[in-house]
Amino acid sequence: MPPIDPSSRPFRWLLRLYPRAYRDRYADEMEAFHRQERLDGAGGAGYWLRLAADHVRAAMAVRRAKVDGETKMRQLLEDLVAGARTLRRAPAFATFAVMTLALGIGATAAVFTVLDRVVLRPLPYPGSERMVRLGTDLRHNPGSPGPLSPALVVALQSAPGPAEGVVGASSTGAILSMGGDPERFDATRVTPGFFPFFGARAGVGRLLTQADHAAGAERVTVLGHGFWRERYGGDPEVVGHTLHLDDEEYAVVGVLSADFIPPPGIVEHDDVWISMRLAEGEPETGMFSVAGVARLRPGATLDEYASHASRVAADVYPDGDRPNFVLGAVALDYRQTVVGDAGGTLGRVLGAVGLLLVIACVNVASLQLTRGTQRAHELAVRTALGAGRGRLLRQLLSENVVLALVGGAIGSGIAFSAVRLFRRYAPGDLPRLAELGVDGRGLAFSLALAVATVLLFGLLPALRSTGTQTGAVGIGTPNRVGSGRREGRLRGTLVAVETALAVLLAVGSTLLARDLVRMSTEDPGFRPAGVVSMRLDLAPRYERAEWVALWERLLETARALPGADAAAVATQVPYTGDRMASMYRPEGTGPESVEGTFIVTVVVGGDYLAALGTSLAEGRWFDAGDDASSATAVVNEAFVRRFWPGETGVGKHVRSGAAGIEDEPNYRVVGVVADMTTSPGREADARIYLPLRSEPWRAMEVVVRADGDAAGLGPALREVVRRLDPALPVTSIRTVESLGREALTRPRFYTTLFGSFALVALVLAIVGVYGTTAYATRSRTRDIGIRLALGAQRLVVVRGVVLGTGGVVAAGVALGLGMSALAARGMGDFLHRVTPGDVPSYAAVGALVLLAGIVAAFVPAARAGSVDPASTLREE
Amino acid sequence: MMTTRTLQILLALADGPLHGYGIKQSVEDRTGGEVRLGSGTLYETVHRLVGRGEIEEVDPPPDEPPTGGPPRRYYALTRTGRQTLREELRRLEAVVRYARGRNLLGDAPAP
Repeated sequence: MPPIDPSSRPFRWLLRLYPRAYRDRYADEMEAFHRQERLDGAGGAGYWLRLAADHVRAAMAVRRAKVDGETKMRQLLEDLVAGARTLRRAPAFATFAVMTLALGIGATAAVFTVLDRVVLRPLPYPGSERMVRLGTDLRHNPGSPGPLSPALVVALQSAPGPAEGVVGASSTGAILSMGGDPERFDATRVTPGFFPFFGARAGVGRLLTQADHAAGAERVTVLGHGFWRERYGGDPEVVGHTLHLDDEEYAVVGVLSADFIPPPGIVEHDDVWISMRLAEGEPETGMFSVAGVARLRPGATLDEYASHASRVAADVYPDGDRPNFVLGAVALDYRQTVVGDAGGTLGRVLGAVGLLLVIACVNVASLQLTRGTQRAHELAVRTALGAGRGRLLRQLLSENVVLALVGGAIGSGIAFSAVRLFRRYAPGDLPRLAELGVDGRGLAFSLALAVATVLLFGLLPALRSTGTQTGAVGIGTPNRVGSGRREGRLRGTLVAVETALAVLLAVGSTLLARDLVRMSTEDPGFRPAGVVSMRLDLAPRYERAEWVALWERLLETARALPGADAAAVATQVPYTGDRMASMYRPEGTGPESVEGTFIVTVVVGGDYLAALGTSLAEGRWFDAGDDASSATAVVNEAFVRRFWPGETGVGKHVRSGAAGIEDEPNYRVVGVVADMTTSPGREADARIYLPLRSEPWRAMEVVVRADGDAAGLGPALREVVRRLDPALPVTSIRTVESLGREALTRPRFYTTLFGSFALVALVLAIVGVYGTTAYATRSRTRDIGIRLALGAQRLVVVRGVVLGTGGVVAAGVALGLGMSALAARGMGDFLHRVTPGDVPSYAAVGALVLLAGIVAAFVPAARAGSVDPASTLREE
Repeated sequence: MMTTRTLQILLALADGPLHGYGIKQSVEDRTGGEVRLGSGTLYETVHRLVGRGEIEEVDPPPDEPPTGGPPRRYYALTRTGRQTLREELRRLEAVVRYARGRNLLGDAPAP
């Protein structure tokens, strides 16, 4: 070390101003610097003053830079504020861009939320990923879990094998009395351990315990939360109340908590829960009504459990005893059985809405591009004044970030309402709607979308705009800067792309709409107008022997009602009723004649043809003489087409039961009835009609044709039942017309959904076409003015502009139609009455979009054509 | 936009590595004493430029005269630094051209 120069002591003192790390690094250097200065002759009060000032300033700068992150944050914020300020100067653009993005982000986030909640999330039960759906393997519907019998449930519970637990539930129809009119009611019967299995908790009182399932235990019930709120007004003192189910008294012991979601596919009604008494005597082997679920031990596989369940089933049903429709036991992934093909459906909806978002982004991008070109002058000046490309890029991007953030925020709001709308209007076949709601994941998705959209719509135009050469500054007027051919081409491409995407959406929704129209206007094979249908169940108040007489008495009074034309009872009427199928062997040479096949069976009584307004194709309808001894049946035309094509049905025989069963009736076909729609868009299937007198049935639809207003007949019909037996509950009275409308809920929902996407897409695309043409003509005003001055026809000028844009639109339309033809193939299962290649749909959309595009181009073109050449040239 | 000091430091390093005092001398020589760098400002700027990757510390040249103290730190332009400098100079050139186009420098012949 050299001897310390005394004068460096104050200098060291100055160095203390710096942070320690900085001092460690540079103190020696600064001292050497200082020494050198002194050696070079620096000194005196002036020098020391300057030195002190210099180090104070530098130390402050170093300390400020230390909080570098914070500074960057502040810079970001400043950029955002600056971005917001520029946007405020262009309110029309900002509003349009924000709303466009909000719509795109909101709709996409909403559909994503639905998809996430319905398809992606595990079911909301403990260990749900290990849950398997358990059932009998049905001969007529192999691979789908049919109901278990109580005996099977008991066997599976006592021999769980690779499962941790097995539970089940069944819906049990009962008559509920709570003081007022008796009601037809479906209570849910559950096996022991059901509630803990699904992690259910009591909101009030307790849930069912093992003891409640014991033989001879007091009859108790647990109420669903909604039922409790509705029927007891949420009374916390409800425990101890009693309610009557089928004349039995049940004491309320508790209420389920509000957050419990009944396991889909297992439980249909979350109202009244009672215990299934499996231990009472020998469990029933012949009745199949229990939906089962098992939870596997960790590590156990579905296959292991399936083979275990099959062995158990084989023990309960040795070969000879097995009902002929049961093949064995089946175990399936529970979530899969619940979600089904909802993933495919919702995935396509997400695809469609994603297209909408892309269109929105493209639209904003092309607007930004236009603005960027208009602002080229401003940007060039800024560049000249010292802003680097990075700085400019950051500024333009922060403008876009502001747009995306505001759009994302509004979009989240839109998503929130959209999900609620979806929950309210979605067709009932979508599973897990009860779980729907926007949550953190949905909001995070909106945010991620917002960020992604910034990149999609912001980066390209920003890069383009800042790429302008500084050399161009000052030479021309703003009009001329950057209206290069490249920008024109890029804008054209963007317009073509968004047109194509809009066409894609429009074709899809047109196909759906045409399909819907065809389905709702096609001949259902009967006259639904003026028909009322009422559901009635005679059991358990009446025995089987009494059913026919009761139905006939009911029909007699109903027919006598003023305003009633005809009355009938049937197990199924179009759009409603029980779809039951039994095994038959129609005479003939096909394999069904030997093996037997399941055919939908409809038991009918009364004036069925007149009540529904349908007709016979051949033969006769049932009359009073058709009963069990006559063994007569009527089939529909689809039946004849399927089993006896080209032949007459009348006189043929249909044997009841599967191969080997010879003690069941061999029905003689006496008539063939016209096919009737049972659900819109579905081909009529083979049906066999049996007379009530030969096949008495407890629960039926009572159908009455009014000679005037159908709805007015409802109260009178209810009165008829009351006179027959005031304790008989009527479930529902509906007009068949309204049932028909309801049957179209699903196609109507998807048509509306896709239709609104397509509408928005088209509007955006047209705005895009308009904006681009308007810009292109504006930037060519001078050009056009000169041409007009040189004697060009206005018409020619206008035509030139329109043709230019028209070419771009036409390219987009062609591309869109091509994409549609490919994409529509994936829509086959949405369509019933039109094919995915339906030419009129494509033609209509193509023509419409082309026309709209040309109109959108014409408006600014006409304006350009009306330019006054003299004034344009003067401006130069 | 870059401060005059930063620009001057980068310019000084354009010819090759220098230590702190060498930078100061080079700048003062070139500007005729118009831009002066104190030890505080100089190292604060150096620190910042190192942080941005525009200059880096390099080994002292073998021919450095011994000072008796610990070896001095030498700094050199990085590729980034060279590029930044070039961009800044182009920008200045554009400014000057712009100004000259409007005869703001007052050196154009009268029309």
